[in-house]
Amino acid sequence: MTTTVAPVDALTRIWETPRGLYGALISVDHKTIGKRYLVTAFAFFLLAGLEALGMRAQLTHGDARLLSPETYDQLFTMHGVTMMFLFASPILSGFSNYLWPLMIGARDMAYPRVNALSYWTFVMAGLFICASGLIGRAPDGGWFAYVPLTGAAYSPGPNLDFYTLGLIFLGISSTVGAVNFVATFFTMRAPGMSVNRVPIILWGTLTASFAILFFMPALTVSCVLLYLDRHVGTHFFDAAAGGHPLLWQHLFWLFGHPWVYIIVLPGIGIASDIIPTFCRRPLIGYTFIALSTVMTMVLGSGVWVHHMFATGLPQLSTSFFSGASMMIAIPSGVSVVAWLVTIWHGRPRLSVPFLFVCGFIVLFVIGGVSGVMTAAVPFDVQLHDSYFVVAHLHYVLIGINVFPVFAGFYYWFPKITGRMLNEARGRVVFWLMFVGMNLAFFPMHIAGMLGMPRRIYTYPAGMGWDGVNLTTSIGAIVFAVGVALFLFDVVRSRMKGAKAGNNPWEAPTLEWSMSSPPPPYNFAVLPTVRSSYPLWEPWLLGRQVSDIDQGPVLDDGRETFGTSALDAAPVGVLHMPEDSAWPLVQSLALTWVFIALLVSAWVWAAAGLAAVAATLVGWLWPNPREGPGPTAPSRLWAMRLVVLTEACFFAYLLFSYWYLGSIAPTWPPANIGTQSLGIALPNTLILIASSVTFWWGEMGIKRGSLTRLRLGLALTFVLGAVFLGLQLVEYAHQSVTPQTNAYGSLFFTITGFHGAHVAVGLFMNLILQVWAWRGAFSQDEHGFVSNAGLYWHFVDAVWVFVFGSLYLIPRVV
Amino acid sequence: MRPTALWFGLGGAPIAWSVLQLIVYPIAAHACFPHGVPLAHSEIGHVNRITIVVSVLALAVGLMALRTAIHNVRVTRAAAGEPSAPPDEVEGPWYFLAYAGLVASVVFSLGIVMTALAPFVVSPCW
Repeated sequence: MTTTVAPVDALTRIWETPRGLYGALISVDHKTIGKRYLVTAFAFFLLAGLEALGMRAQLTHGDARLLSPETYDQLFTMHGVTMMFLFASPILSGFSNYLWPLMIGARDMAYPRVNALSYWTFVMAGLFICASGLIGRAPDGGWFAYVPLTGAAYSPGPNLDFYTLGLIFLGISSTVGAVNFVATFFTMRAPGMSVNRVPIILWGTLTASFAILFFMPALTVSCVLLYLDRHVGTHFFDAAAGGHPLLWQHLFWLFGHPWVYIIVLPGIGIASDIIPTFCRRPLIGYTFIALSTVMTMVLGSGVWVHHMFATGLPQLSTSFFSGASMMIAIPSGVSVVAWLVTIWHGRPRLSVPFLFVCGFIVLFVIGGVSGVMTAAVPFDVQLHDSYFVVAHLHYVLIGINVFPVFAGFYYWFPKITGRMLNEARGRVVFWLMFVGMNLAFFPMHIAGMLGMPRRIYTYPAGMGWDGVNLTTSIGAIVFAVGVALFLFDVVRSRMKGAKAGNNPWEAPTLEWSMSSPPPPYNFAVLPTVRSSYPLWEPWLLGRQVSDIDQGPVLDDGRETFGTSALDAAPVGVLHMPEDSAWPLVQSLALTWVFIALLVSAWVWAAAGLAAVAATLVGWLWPNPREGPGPTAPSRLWAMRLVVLTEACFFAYLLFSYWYLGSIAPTWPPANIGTQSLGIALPNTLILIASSVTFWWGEMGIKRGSLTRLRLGLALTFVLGAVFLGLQLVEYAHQSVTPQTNAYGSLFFTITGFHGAHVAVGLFMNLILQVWAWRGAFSQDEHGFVSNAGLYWHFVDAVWVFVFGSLYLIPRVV
Repeated sequence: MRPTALWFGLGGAPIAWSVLQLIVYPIAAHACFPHGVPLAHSEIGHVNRITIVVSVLALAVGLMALRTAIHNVRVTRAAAGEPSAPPDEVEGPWYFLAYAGLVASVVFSLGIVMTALAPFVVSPCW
């Protein structure tokens, strides 16, 4: 229905979340979730700030005894973990969750319930990690938790278990959130909003989301392996039994370096979208900035070894990564030039958001230059583990994450709350934070040059470090005062701030076209976009070419447009799900699992997993009102992306296998020999056959034959179950155990995780069979069958690689 | 314009660079630490030559991608855009992607050259 007068009352009824506590718990509204992300992540920011102030109090002068070494270790570790994992990324998720649908002309994210799951899981994982501090057993091995220090021998308490399990838990939140962003980008942009017209923050978050899907599994694998070493007696990092500590560093930094870009690229997007508004002109070099965002990530994914220059790696190897690291300066420099040229050719208005963006550019350049310096191997080796590195990483992370985030707060606070923050107080906040930041961290460069190592809880007076440390501590206090004043401003402005109106900054993008705060349905009519700056068209083009105030209403339930990936041509109407308690319930069940694993209560952990499975069944159970779901494009994206990230998980496991194999005298160890093909070969054929039966059944339903689908699913189930049974038989005949040596640890871990995936596939198969017998599928509605089929084929394909690596190649090489 | 040409122009050079990094790093590392035992000199005497040969192959892919990207830019620029769009957007999303491929091909081909130069600058092990 196309109209100029939308039935806003009906839309409000459709999209509004029920009031009260229950409504708050079941809400899947992206605006609610976005605000919760912002508030929760900011609370973690304050916690991390207090931890930092504790450290600075200790380091203000030499020979201080305010904190014990153990407490200091916990403080600096938790400061890093909290900032990196619980603030820097989630705060950007908050902005993106709140803003994306408003910016792209949609009524919600692609998967609203998954969005809620992402938030609740983030909260639970954050509380899980921080709970360690309440019992005085916070992680204490640094945010990168190098082994062997973090192994059971040197860290016997539960401290590092909070770390490993907490980060695996948090990884679930990040991953499902990333799936949601990617699917939303490619399927839900307003008609006409082609990829060359999206705000830069979308490019930043999209790039970061892909990076999460590719690299988060490396962190998950490293944490799983460390947990197994600590609790099951495996030997992944035990050099005496064929493992190697450098395996941890490779896995961690394969994740860790991209993570830096994950937490800065959306920040760069925020700054890039604010600059045009306050310079009163379109962004110069849009294509270059969008592409720089993506290129920085691609280059950044191939430089992880520059964190390992001091580990004794061969010169030629390090030089490859040194060159690649320096190349990151190219896209970064291009972006800086584009921003400066835009400012130069604009008519800058020095409002508070723009001040923070200017601060961001200055800090970005300083942090970038010291980054190029540390990319040079001789320089890095000299200053490795010194305070110079601490200075560099804080210029990068505070400069490119915290400052854009504060710019975003000042810029979008009026949209979120309907009230303006105080401009005069904001200027004071900016200068306190900017001066405090430089006062705190610039002297750290000097401290590093003077030889002050990182992670020391105190230092002898008279080393020449007292002055720079005192300056740093004063800077930290100034910075903290700025943050405190910002908090005061937020509270006061929320109650008494000036009314904002729809578009207080006269900004050009879609989120400013609606009331502040936005209505539950976002857009009364769904817009059609024909330029990058739809609200500036009368000024830029002399007339309004985008349709903002008239268009389709879509009020037959929760509906929004589905569009094509590149040019955003309409492809259908998406029916969005209702509010639901399942995301919260499932995150509680996951919490149960991780608490049980923390205390090594295996039976309780298994029961928790059963609870998770039960919540999945409840979540996915066909809703008589919604049905099993249409075969809409966004439905298919989720499984594709899950398969992508799962493939990366197995790639990192197989990388571990080949890495340890490459440094072992013989692989498999001589006393073990190669794996027998007696069971594995027929088992492989059985698993491949199960793919054929699934495909046969799926083809059946595509032709309308429910009977063929039922038969295909049943045959697949039997073959998959036989595969698992034979694998157990093979385990019983193995000459090694997971505790024998690193080879045994890897063999059982890789095949075990694959077996677990087969079991999940069988579980999905069972659900499909139940639905098939209830007649829930038809020729037109079989999206879940296709999704489950993709997963099953993926699991089978993974086995081909596992079989090749563990069984075949060792026989040949 | 064929979609394969568009995607090759966009992703050819970055993928070639990524694959190059993934090949030459383990070769160089293993050459100096065969089975975990450090050597003073490279065990694989030809490690430099292997690096250069693989780099040349990667560069060939990168330059082919660059050539394809240039062609893509010309084709998409010639295509008519929306008449109502702002002047800097008339080329549309296909031109945007083609142009992105051009820039990416240049940058990542440069990256391949930098990797290829490494054996001339440093010794393989230490």
